[in-house]
Amino acid sequence: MQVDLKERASENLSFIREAMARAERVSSVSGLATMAMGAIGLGAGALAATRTSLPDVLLVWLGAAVLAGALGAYGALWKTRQSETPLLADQGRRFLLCLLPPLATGALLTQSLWDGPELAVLPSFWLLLYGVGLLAAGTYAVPPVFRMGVGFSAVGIAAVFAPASWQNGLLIAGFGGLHLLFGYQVYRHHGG
Amino acid sequence: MVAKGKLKPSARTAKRQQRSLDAISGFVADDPGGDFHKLLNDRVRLGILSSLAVSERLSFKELKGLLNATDGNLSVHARKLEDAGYVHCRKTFEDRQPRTDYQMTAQGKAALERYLKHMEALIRATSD
Repeated sequence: MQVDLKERASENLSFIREAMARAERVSSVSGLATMAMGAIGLGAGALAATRTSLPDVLLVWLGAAVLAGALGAYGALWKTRQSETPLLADQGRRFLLCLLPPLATGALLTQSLWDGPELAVLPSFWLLLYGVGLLAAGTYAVPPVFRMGVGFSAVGIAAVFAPASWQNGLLIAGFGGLHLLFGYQVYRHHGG
Repeated sequence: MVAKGKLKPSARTAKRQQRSLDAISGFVADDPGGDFHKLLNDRVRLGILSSLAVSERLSFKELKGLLNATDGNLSVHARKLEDAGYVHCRKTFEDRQPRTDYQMTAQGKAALERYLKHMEALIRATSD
């Protein structure tokens, strides 16, 4: 009887832990912060359009990426604090482990291609790598995150074949438009 | 000296057992009708509360997917939690489609915390 009670109680605690881990994914991405990242993307696109050289255009986008990344991280932290859940609990940790390697790859590629003749391929790499990261991380996040990964991958593929003059527009469509669109979906349907 | 050394751990164990038993009896004494216990002893209801503990708001569809429950089963259990005041249900329309969202109330949060404490106390008591 004693063993049964203990087993039952342990099973119940495991069930609660698993249910929380499954549901946790719903709470970690901030829709508001994602929309703000989109606004930064639109601003960066407008600013980049005034630049004449490709390195200058890409520098504007790099600055925006740093700003938007910090904002996204702050938004996730704020949202998890609001719901009193740890940011780096199981699902949050997996989310980051899926998202960070493609982003690190993008940073390394940017660094290695910066002084070479292949600089023009960077926008498509950025869009594709971010899209791949979101697709993988999206399995541990709310459904709009996965759909945003699909969107970024599609825009990235388009950027591979698009002429150089379209690259800034495609970056705006991705980092501006898709962040705004899917950020709104997260905000509206997944707790802010 | 040796006997004193031997007695100390068992006295400590007895105290721990007493504390665990007090926690369990306290739980039962607070719940004379057993309604609270009955409510959370069901896996779907426990799953709803556990999921809502980490997510501010979940839709019916999301809960259904998370708990692998049928429409009928989920709505019956969610209604029981709503009647007990553990969850708050909000019905809206989205693109002309009805949408139901659930949020945990302070009462629900307290109930889940109490249930967790009870389970921990049970494990401690039966481990000694």
